[in-house]
Amino acid sequence: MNSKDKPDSALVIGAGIAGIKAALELAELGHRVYLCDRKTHIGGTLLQLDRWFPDDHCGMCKVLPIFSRDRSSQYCLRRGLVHHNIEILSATEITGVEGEAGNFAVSTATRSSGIHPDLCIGCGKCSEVCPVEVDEEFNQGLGKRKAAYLANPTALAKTYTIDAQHCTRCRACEEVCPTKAINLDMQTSENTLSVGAIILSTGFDEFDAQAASQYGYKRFPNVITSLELERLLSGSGPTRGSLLRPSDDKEPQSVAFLQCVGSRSLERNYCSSACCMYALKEAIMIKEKYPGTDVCIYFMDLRTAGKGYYRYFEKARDELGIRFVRCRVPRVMQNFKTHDVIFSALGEDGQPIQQQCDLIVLSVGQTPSAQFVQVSEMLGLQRNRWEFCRTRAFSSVESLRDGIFVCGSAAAPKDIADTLTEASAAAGNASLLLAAPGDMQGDDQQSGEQAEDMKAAVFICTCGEEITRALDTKELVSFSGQLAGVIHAGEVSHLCLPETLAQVQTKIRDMGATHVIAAGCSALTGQKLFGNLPLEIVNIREGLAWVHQDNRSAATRKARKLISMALARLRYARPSRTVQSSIVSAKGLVIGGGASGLSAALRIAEHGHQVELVERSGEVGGKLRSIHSTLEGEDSRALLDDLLKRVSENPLITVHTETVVEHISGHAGAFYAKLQGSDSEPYELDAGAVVIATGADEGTTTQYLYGQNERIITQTELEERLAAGQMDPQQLNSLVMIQCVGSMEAERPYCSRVCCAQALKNALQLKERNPDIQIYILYRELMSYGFMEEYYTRAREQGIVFIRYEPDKKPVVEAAEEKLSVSVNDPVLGGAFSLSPDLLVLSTGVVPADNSVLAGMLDIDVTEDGFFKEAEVKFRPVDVIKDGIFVCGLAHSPRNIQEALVQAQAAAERASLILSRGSLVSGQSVSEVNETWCSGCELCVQACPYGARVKDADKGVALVVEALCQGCGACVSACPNKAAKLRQFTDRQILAALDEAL
Amino acid sequence: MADDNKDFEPILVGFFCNWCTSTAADLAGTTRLQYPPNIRPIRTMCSGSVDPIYILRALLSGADGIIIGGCNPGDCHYVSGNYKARRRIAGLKTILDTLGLENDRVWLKWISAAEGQKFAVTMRDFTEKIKELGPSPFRKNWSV
Repeated sequence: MNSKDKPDSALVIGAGIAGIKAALELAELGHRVYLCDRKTHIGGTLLQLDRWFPDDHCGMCKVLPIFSRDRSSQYCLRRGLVHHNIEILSATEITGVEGEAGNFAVSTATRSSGIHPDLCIGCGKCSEVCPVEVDEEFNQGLGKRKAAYLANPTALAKTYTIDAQHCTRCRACEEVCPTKAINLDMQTSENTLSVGAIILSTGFDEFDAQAASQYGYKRFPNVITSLELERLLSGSGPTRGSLLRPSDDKEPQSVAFLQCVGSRSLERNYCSSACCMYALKEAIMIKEKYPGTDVCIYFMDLRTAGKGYYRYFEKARDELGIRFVRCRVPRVMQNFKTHDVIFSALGEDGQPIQQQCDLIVLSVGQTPSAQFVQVSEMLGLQRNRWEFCRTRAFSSVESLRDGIFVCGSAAAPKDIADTLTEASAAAGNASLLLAAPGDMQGDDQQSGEQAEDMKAAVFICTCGEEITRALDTKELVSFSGQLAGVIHAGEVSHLCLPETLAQVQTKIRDMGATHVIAAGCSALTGQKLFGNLPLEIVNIREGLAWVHQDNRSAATRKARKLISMALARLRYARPSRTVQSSIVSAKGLVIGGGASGLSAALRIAEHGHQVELVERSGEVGGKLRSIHSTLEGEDSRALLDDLLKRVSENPLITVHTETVVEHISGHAGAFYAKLQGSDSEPYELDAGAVVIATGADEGTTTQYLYGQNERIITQTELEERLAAGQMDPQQLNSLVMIQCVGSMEAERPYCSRVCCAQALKNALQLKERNPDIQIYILYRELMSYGFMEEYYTRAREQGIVFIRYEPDKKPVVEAAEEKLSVSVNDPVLGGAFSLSPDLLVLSTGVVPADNSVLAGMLDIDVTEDGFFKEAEVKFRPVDVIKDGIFVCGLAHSPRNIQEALVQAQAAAERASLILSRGSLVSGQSVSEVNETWCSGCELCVQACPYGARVKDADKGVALVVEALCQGCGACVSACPNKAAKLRQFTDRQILAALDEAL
Repeated sequence: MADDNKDFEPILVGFFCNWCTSTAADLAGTTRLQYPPNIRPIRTMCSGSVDPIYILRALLSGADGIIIGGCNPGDCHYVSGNYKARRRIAGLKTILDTLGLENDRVWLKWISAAEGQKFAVTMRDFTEKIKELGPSPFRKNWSV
């Protein structure tokens, strides 16, 4: 097919955080994106959550683009998303798909929400008069809503929706609507989209806890799910953030969390991967707010197998006093008089446990979303036995059908960081199938010169009666008209309506206004209302009329002040302008030649960019060379061969082995590096982006007599010997494995994530080759997250014995002549017993390489544990805070091959986003330096979190790298000489507004 | 003192960050949570870009109280702007002490995007507090 016939657009199904991220990545590459969702708003599950583990922060906004910032909205994502390349199709379902990769025809059905989005002004009258009351989804049924309702209260555009299912068609809302926006004869409109690739980011459904009757969910009021708890703790929830139990609205004195509700069961024998961590987070949130409350987490294994997760657990246990109790066979009863709930289970030692508590929280697992199951039928995708999407070997974002990609929980339960990593990787895969986007430079061009005199037009919206009810807009108009610089002041009825807006725009043009003030509602924010004219929005609805309803004169006075303040700010506004800084190099530099580095280099080359790959050792391949298969039985040797072949055949990739990076400096678009080979001249290069994939090492240990006895080896040594045929499993009678050697201990307080899977893999393989062999795995927490749980089950079925040990009662190993003895305390049997294995295998974990040198050269951070630190744990998982640098694989954190590969693709995708641009374009609001006033003290350089302030050694002054500047103004307030200023937020503007405020 | 202040309507200025506190202010509006109209908001991109000079200038020019609203610790869109604000405001308060001005006239509050209720309650509490403190002594002296 001619590439001109290929669509350059993609479809993303599911507008949760994964869909938003994937859509933004594609849009930033210049592709058109349809982002569709069944719901009437975007944001998915995240809208219902306030903060996330393991740092208890919110940070959704960090998903927004760093470069060419002004092409997308610049406000909290809870309020919505605007990007000129993204078309959001809400309340839309997929009804059919035809075609093939590169050219799909997708039919969609968009159901009318009953309220015309262009006409709805968000006044809420329909909701007031609506007689129907149903459970409110946003608050998980803990509150009520009407059939005419606002689904996302934080959204900027407060567009109401009619719930067709519950609406009685009484038509009271139709009569009361001031803009006649309601039409209850809801039609479904059909459409066909032509797209080159499809990304499924359909998320998960919560496990329905009613299906597990032993928990008493819905029968006992004080048994709630984790998501219900999130709503009770949320400032936007039904109790405005007070934790009050449902039966009597009392603050609970004791709260118990029950883990694995709907996970790790016979019917769903997988681990939902995120519940241990979110339970920890919720427990911490309760403890921080109510320190006196007793909080206990009842669990089987505490799976803290992610970056920083074990430290988070330690904080919960040691600093906050949250209790942790291991148990199984839980059930819940209630005291029918007090509604207190009684939890009972069997402890690890088999003894019964019972606790009476005020509130029980069920940590419900993730199940495949019903939407995914339906859409996958239509797309002909294969599903695994738990109904999640089946994906290709070593690529968790590729479905088995070409051109259709998945990210997030569609293919396996996941947390946010992994979800967003996959979203970037999926977008990169999709992009390769799309026609090359048009002009990548399509950023806002500079606008004209500033007019000499300000001729401001002021429009005051009455919003029907919404604003006039609380303040006197007539007076406001006459007041505004008399202000200096105002040539027109007028009242409009609904400024947000397209018709009114067009009239206003014409008026502005006709009268030759140079500046505009629009006083109205918050929905006006962030919209290109009047071209490039300097504009101030004054929010006199949400910020005034709706919050000061009972003091008309004070409200009007305040409105006058706000108009004066806006005018003062406008008076000193300069026309908008963006700065283009050209890219020095469109080449990528990848540091490290393991599986992650190779795969990142390949992906960057597939995007059409040159790549230089630097490897310290004599050959590329890294740790992948010592891995012979995976737990799932995939052939990692074939993967290695394939990677090596594709890299060597790709003319865009240059590999430098036995080479180190001796020097590197610069910033996004313009890095300069000096490479030093072992026996060659230094090699210099420019690069636009850097991917760090320097890997990590298997830990070494002196514990358990390692190194003193040839019968004591590491897991990797065992794997090597088995693969090389140096070991005959037939000769072994018994074998002991010890997990967590050096991991989750004081020196390395993190889980190495890969060892449990490696132990299971090796143990199962030994069992397969000699079923009579006795295998004992001594572990602390078995980290068989996700679908690995099945292998854990299989191992137990095959007679492999798992014995848990406590860190303060480690196994004791003794060696005498030909025999080893391992004694261990078994908490299940409650006593110590001794094993005499032929072989002792130690899982020594993952230790970071010495990353400090590279980090120092790049001026970036490593974590407390020595891995490279990402810009934001959840929302920018592969970015480093200094733009243009990305990190993947073991250099980032311990992870298995599949996870490392998807991360490498994500990092390559992020790097390509920079390399694909001819130039980097700044936002409109960036810092500027008055060089005469700058003393070169560098306080701004220290204050800038983005490395956008640098000192020009020749001039002795600090400069701004505009492309990197995110417009926070930190340097402005740090500057002692007032040499720095932030465009659109200059001191002059703010002080002028301040003077008017007083 | 308290009786004299019964009819006193303080002039209050708020610097609210674009990302969290401005969203919360909007949410307070959507949910029709009422608070006194004394507060005059100025939007800044980040609480970290609020220069102490703005606050001093406001106080010297007759404001009775200043409130700065930023993202919760760690939530800052710009990584660490709110921490910078925290340090600066702490420093500024020592200056206010030296000037003999009640340092409770300057508040720094973390109000996240979801906390519409907290926004309204904070505005109410702040207005109450300043009413209790009475007009700024700067205003009194200079109005002679």
